[in-house]
Amino acid sequence: MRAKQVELVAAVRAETGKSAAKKLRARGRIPAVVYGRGMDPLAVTVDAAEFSRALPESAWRSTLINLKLADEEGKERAKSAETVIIADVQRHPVRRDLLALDFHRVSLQETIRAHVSVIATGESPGVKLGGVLEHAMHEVEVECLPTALPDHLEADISNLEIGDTFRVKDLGEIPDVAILSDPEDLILVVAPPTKAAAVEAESEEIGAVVTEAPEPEVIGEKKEAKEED
Amino acid sequence: MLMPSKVKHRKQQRGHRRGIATRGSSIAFGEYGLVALENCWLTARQIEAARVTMTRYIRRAGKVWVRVFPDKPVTAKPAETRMGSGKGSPEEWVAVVKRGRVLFEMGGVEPALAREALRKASHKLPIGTKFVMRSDLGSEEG
Repeated sequence: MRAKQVELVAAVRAETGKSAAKKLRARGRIPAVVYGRGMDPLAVTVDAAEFSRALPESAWRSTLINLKLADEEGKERAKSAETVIIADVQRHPVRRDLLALDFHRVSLQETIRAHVSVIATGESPGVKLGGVLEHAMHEVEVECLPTALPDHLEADISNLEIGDTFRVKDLGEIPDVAILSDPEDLILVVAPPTKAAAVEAESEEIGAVVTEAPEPEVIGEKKEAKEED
Repeated sequence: MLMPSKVKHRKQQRGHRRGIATRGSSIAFGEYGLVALENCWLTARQIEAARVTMTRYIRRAGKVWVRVFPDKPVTAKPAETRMGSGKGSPEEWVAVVKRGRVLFEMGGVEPALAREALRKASHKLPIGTKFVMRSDLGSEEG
């Protein structure tokens, strides 16, 4: 499935720095920067609500954005639209709201490198028998033209028995897209189920260790003891 | 219980607990996570109790990752001891947790099961926590 293209309006900003960025966030705007393709970086802002509406989080890494540049007053500049992808997103560690965005300029004629998420499809017979589907890798790196950038890649797990693996090479050929990740890299594995008895035994073992927890070895002290010998 | 195998010094100063987690605040391995909403010292016993609770609840399914490690020794003086005579002896090991930190991750189970397992585990912890899914936090990969 090809990535979709969305339109977004960004206002050019003159003020930069922590204080200006805080004021912008208080007004519901996200400070952002547009860079790439050998051109000067451009400080902009985007409306936080508009950004969240136009781009659900799952589509951040693989959506082409037609960024229309406007003046600080909101008037659109003539001939000033850029095709960009999101290069980085900064979020607040606790509140999770967006703090800053990086947009990377792309040319529709030049290939780009991007990370595309891998989604498991189908029902694995191994999982039905009690196996655990483990995701070792959630994204693969691809190289393609921006217009051919896939929204996501699908990993068909309908043949995976317990102990079977799904590697990058198993994704197969994707038209107009080159996968850069190592073909042998593990994406999915159907791990055998943990025996309930083993879980209980492990817990009991831990209980035994609790009572006799030794002090760890102190690195310096041991050396001194050896020197004395 | 979790504790370091080797340390450079037997005792440490207490340090500060202020601030927010800037590292370890995204889901890196599993699909679901439990995020700390307050700063605290999480003891090895508390971590272990929470881990055992969630592992038992999900039984044979899924996989659990513990994202914090208790590497800080906490000392205590014996009861009814006069003040002075130096610092007490190491009693337990704690992990310094700041709000925003992903404490545990889980994968390979249905969301409802993971939510309940992590809810039960959160009752073993001394702080408020929040259940999160990979799509809520973004990933650390790439």
